[in-house]
Amino acid sequence: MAMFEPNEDQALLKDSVAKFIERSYDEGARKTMGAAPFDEARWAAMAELGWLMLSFQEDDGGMQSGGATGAGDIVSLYEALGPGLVIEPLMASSILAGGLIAGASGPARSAELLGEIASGAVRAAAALHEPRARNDLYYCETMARREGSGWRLDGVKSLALGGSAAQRLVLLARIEGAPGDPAGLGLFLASADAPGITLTPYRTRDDGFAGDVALSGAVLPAKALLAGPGEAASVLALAVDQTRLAMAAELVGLAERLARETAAYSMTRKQFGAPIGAFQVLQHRMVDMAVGVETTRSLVYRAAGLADAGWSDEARAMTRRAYAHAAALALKTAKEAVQIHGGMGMTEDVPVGRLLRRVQTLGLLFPET
Amino acid sequence: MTQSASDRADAAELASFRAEVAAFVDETMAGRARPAMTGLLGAEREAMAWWQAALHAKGWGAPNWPTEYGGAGWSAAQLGVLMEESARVEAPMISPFGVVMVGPVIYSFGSAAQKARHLPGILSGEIFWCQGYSEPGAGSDLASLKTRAIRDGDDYVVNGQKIWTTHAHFADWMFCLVRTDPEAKPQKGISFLLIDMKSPGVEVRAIDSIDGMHHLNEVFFTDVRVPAENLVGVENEGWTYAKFLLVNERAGIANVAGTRRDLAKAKAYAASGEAFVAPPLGDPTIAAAFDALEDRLEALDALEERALAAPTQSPEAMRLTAPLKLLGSELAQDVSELAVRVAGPAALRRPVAAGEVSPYGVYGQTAMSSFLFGRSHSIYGGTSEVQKNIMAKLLMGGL
Repeated sequence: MAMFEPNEDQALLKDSVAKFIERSYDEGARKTMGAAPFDEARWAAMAELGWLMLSFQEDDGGMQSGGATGAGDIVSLYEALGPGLVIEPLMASSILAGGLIAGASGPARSAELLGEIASGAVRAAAALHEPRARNDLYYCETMARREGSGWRLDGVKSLALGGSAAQRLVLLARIEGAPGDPAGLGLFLASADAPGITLTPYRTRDDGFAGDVALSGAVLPAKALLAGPGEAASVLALAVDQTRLAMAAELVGLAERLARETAAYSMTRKQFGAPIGAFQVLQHRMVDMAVGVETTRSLVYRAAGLADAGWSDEARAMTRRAYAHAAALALKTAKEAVQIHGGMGMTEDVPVGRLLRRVQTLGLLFPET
Repeated sequence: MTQSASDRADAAELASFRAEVAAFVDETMAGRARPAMTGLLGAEREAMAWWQAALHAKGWGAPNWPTEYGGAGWSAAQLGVLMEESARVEAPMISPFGVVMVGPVIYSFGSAAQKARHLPGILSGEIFWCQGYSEPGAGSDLASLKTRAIRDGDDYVVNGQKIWTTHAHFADWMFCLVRTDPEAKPQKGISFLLIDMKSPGVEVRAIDSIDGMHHLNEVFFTDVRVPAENLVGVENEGWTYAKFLLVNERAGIANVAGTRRDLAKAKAYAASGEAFVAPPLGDPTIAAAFDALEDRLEALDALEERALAAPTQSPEAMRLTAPLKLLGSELAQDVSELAVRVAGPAALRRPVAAGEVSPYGVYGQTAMSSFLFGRSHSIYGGTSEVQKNIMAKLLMGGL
């Protein structure tokens, strides 16, 4: 199985992402984004660059053909996005919600909708978590009952990523079985403003646009079903693994910037008559950061190489390993970065705090249970 | 280990003392809303002033001060009991800058007039203090501080800048290290000055913290006139008083009581069937993580007991103070990190504003705030690296 390394096209992609970030995501602008509403123009500009298309097949309005997964493209994209602390729900809409729709075979699966997600015309968000279930997505108390020819959904989904900026929701609800039983799950597609659906918007710690989704007698037509019992759990598990790979890549990008910022800061900050970066005890710690970034990148590339050839069990197991490793390494790197920045690291005047919050967000979303 | 009769008598006495303290804190805190966050996070002047006033009314405003200055002559163990019981009921914090830091400097080195003027307000909680030590170019290398005080008649004229000044936005007074002799060796030309924060020329600017709150400030001094009577002790001897203060601080520096409370809360949350369908404590890796932190807490508590038993300002006390700060900081940080891990997705929302609710409740958001703010434990009051420098000096060079 070939180890992944970005090819010429992917190197160009990374380069264009870096240029976009430099233009639209400079440090001054990034500081104020946490208080600003969703920026449609910036979203459109990112969509225009094709970033939302990478995971979709050509038939669905995407860029992949011949059964290719696009894993290498996606890893290249998100590794380059990581340092930029991008707040738009690119991954939430295209990889997670888009992956759930694309992977399903029910009547709600629509190439037209996938094309709209891939072009950025429509944003989708997946509502999977529940308040008391922590990271166990199979523990689903939200119920979908047959009503007439359609469905009636009741329950509370928490933390729909990108939810407050989405027009469509992918809802995980139980059709049969006890909470915790994966076989009885169902996936549904709904408009975010459908009757009986109340989305409470909020911002996450990394400035993302999320929401809780209360379903109170939400009536959906029969054609809202994406995947029913027997299918939904495996569709869900695959989309989450695909999201984990993108997250692992983004975590590498985050850790890399943390290491870079820290090394640069240490050469400007003087104490005891020398840059603190001249002290061996700090040099060794910064070397540890850099080594951690490179080994983690290697592991993520190994997973990308496997997934590029197809989402085999081996590719998915390696992806989960890479995600867990990247989350732990990036958290350790972020803590060190704050410490070496000293008091400055506690402030919003340098990016390390924001990087730390993004690292925590990515790491806490989909750990294995 | 066998207990002597006097040990048993001491233990019985301490137990009845604890009962008295517990009754007082329970009664005082009854019906009072608990702060959403603990430690410096929930540090609002009104809450701190209320709690300090309540303690003062009971005669416990500064129980380990000498009785002649309004203290109660308590032992370290008794003070530890008050800290534990206050932590248990989540009482507001005591501002460390008054009772713990500047108070003992004033009664040890200050003039009679300074004692009469400043100690009562510290005890009663009416007057708040902040600490003017760090500067943009003088953090770990504190002795290189540049804020200048020049004697002019009956005043000092102060110019310069302090940074990371916790509580400066509501403090009444600052105890401040200033340079009075620029020619002397760095540590020799520093003086310890008390500055009224309402003095013309003092400007406070907020610093936004990574937890989304406002704890820290920059303080600018432009031709601030400070009466010379506000000099503590002898001019150019300020470094000595600052060092005295550091060693004196050891009683609360490890924050064992607060961390014990936070660890217990995190564990209770991890075991909660109300918060979780499958309480995370059932995960053996999480249970093991709690065990390991409990072991470290017990070791820290034991270390603190020995440090507090050492005579004040003794070499032994100095040798044990830096480890208390180092290990106390790291443990508090690791407790909040585990709390965040337990909370998982519940930790990811920004703290709810008044009137908002989260189906996750607020614990996870609070845990994340503690985690983010807690990164500062190993930075303020001498970074972990500075603590290790101190220890290395003692280890390699003797005292």
